[in-house]
Amino acid sequence: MDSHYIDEVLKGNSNAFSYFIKTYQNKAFGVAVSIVKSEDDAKDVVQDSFVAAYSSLHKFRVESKFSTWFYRIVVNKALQFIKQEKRKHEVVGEYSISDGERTALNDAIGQLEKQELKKLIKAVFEKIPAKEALVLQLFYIDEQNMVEIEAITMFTKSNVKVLLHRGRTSFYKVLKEQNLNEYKYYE
Amino acid sequence: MNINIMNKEDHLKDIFREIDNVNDPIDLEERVLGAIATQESLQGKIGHYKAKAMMALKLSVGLIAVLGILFSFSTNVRTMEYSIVTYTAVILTLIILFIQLEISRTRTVKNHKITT
Repeated sequence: MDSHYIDEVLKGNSNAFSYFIKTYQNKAFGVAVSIVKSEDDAKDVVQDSFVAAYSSLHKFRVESKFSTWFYRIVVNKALQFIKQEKRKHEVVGEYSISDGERTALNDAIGQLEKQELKKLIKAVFEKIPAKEALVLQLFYIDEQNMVEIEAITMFTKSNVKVLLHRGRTSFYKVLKEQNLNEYKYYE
Repeated sequence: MNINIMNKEDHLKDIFREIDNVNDPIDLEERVLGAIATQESLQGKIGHYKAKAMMALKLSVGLIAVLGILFSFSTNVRTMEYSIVTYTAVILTLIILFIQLEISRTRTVKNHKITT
């Protein structure tokens, strides 16, 4: 399906590009917002990424997946954005969480409804360092496998694993600091 | 790290299972297509200016060559002829400047008309 619309765009039918916008904008937004942490900035990043993808579509190799190629553009644009903004989200020291704490947190969030959980995850992701949040977003929410994450982020395999491990720890750390009752709906 | 081993101790997989997108859906279609149209229009203008700049460059090179030829005559000609060559050279220089200014959209004549 993607290759058909790529051909159409390359033939000069710029309206065919709407297909890519409709198909990939929400996932791309999720990836961008996990890095830049602001919805408005993430929308700008996604817009720039689509424009960049449109301009360099002739360089896209049909044997690879469009989504992987496009998400790589989004990641690069978002990382470039935070670099320009000089907003670096570094892990502050090492942090470990006990199995007991982890189980208690898992049980607590297991009680939440889907919408409450979405709200909570969004709030937690905003506080997690950019690269960790990105890897968590790709692995858990977009359900990309390790090979695809490597291709999208251009991080090495070991780097992805380290970020995933740190991301999980950061997730629980931030989760622990949240008041989970705030996310519950009371009737 | 084996993913299977990772999943055994990873409860986040279960937690995130039902979540396909954390954020509310967005609609950037109009905005992106607008940005693409603007970019294409800018690229078209840049191409147009490049073509004009090339034409101005070629014209300038031609006229400068003519100037060079005219000045190379100056030492071997009489006073009257020397004056003609000099004035022609000055006029050609002014024409070159005028062409370059007009092509670079300075619009000297148009702006002059507006101010007077």
